[in-house]
Amino acid sequence: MPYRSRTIIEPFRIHSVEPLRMTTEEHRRCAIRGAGHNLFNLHADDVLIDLLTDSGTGAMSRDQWAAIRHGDESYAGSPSWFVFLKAVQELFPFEHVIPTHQGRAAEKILFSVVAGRGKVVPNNTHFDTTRANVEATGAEAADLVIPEGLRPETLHPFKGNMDLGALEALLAGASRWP
Amino acid sequence: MFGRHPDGSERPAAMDLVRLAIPRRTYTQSHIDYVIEVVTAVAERASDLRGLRIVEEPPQLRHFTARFEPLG
Repeated sequence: MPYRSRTIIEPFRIHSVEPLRMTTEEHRRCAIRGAGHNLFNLHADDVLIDLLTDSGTGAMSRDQWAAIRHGDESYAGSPSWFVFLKAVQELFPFEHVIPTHQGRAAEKILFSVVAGRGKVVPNNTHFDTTRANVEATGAEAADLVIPEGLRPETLHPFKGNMDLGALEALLAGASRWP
Repeated sequence: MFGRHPDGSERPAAMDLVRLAIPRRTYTQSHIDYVIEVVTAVAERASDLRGLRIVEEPPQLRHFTARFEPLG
């Protein structure tokens, strides 16, 4: 029998380290009071382990850092742009590609074009800024998450899944969608 | 849009959830074990913890900038 370890190890070793700033309980109480008890108002320096930030905080690989050195910031015709364009067009059937700095900027552009008053935008639980951008155009955000996703006491492999029956019913009904 | 209804009323959410966004390859197993330990300790005290009252809120996407005070 081949040896099978019980421990699953990370398939990398650490290349560059960043110190964490330890704080006292009194310092944290003071920072939270100052933030009006809203964690969005805290200074990042006062946070030991950040599980709020949802993009751009993963550790970069050596190849990603190396790619930055190959990158180019030209206003027009940058080689980095063509690498991005090729990757997007390999994955999606879109002729036109507009780069944005973050998801919420992309949502603002997308929904101002395809949504609007009288339309319904179905999704499997819209992200908060996604719903806000949909509703800001006057459209309705219809959350079609599966029923299991709304029952915290049950186990399910993917509670964020789309309820396909509900989606088919919405598409077959009288609603207008993008 | 994540704020009060146009008539100023509140509708409680069906569920209050906490999201833990774990950045890729950034924290070690020990960091995650520490998070589990702290979350467990907080959950054990859940019945002693008081709620918060909204004291300032914008009309839209209020969770980003609202301010709260502990309930007495």
